[in-house]
Amino acid sequence: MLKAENITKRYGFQTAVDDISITISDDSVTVIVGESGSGKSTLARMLSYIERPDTGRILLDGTSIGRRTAKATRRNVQLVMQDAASSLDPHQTAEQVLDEPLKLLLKMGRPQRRERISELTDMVHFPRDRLKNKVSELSGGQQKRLCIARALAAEPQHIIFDESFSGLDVTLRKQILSMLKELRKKLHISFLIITHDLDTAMYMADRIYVMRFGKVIETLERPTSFLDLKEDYSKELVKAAEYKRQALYI
Amino acid sequence: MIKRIVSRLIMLTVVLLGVTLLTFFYTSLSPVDAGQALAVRRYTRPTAEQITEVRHELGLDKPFAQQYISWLGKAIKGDFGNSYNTGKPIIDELTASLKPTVTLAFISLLFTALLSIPLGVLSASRKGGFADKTIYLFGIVCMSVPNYWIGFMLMLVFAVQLPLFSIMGADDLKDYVLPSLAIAIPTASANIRVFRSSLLEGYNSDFVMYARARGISERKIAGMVSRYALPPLVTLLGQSFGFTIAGSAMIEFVFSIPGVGSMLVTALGSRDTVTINACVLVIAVIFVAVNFLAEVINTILNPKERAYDR
Repeated sequence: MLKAENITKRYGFQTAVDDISITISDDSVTVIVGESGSGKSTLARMLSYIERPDTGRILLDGTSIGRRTAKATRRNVQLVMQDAASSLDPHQTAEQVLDEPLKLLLKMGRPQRRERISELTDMVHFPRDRLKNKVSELSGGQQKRLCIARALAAEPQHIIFDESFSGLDVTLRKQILSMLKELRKKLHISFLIITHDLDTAMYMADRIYVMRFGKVIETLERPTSFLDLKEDYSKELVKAAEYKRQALYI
Repeated sequence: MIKRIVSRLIMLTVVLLGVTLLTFFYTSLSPVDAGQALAVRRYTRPTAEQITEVRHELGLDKPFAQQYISWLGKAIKGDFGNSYNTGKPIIDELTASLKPTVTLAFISLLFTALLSIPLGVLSASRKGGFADKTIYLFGIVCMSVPNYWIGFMLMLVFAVQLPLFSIMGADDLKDYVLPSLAIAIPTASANIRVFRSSLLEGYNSDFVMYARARGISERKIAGMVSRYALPPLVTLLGQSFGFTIAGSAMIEFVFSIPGVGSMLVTALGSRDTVTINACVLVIAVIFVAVNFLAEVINTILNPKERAYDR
């Protein structure tokens, strides 16, 4: 279980995350929704040990994450960023991208790594004949799949998707979300999905947190319909999503 | 990549043709008639017939297009004719002048790289700190003063007060140190800012943030960022080499180096149009070739560029 307890993060006079407590249970999908600037990505970076909270603590299986537990955190909490292209080193090949966490975090030997890379590519439907290509030579969809495979490589307990599905066309987004649902069932990993897309939230979530101005304003367990959301701001988000859907059809 | 290189080579050939055409056109616009200038030098007080004779000898009585095509045809074979000023073959004078200029450009390029890379890394790694601010301030001062002034100051300190280097001439490599530094200091000052920005952009990029999150060592990260930040610096170094070849006249003059810059200035003063055209062509060829080389290196260094070619 990954848990944030009363965490706060400030940048100068700006409070990005304000006294938040959330829980990401094992083998579940938690979704955080909210408008841009609501502190979702800062929260994701803190949960994945890229940034440290100013106050409060983050617990992984009951142990506070910090320098002593850094290695375990790096292995067990993986992050998939919004822009796949910029989160990959353009000088690496797809194979090197997948090889690195296996070598660094799992200390696997070469034959084992090769075998694991084949498994990973199959899991995310990444074409094996593209493994020798530089990441900059891959399509957007392939880069996204590679990022997911890289996150899966370390056999983590939790994967955080920070706006990872925005910017994808509808078909590709659906393919990737379906693939993630299958993977979760198979591997029993928990996902934390950060998005401003309510449709994605409703399709995937076991629990939804609604964030605004760095605070969690509403929590929804086992959501079945948008109507379950009670807060005015949450209803506004639903309306906005509805408007966007209509605009697409026009 | 090969396709891109070939298309770029074709484009550069067109650029060079354009440069020769423009230079030829502008020198033909000169109010001083080159034929008359040579006749004055040859006969002191030439008659109209003597001027016509010289003009005919130089081919200046032919239409512009014919003059240009004839000159270009010979220039491609390396025959630029004889200097109106000295009467010697221009190719011989150019070959002799190119050696010191190219040496100067190479050494100044080396100094520029030696100053830009470590100071750029230092400035980026100490962002906002004392070292960064000092480098910034020193850079602004060095960019604001002309390179020949820096040359005079270097000469004053290192050749007059501390007699470590000679004041003039280009007999051995040591003689190139001060002029090269005079060119390199302002150039490196500008390059440091660009390299610093590229490094900072690299350090702030998502893939570096992700690498840190995975526990990759800072040394390996520095390698990743350097590869990311090098292409803009390579372009600038290539350009600075070209600019040194094309614009070294003042420094050559200050340090009495008999290079292409000095040769061009002398030719301009004496309306030696054939020498001017030859110098401009050679400078343009070197400038274009070095920039092309920088672009090829960048394509090799930058996989995004290579991906763009596919």
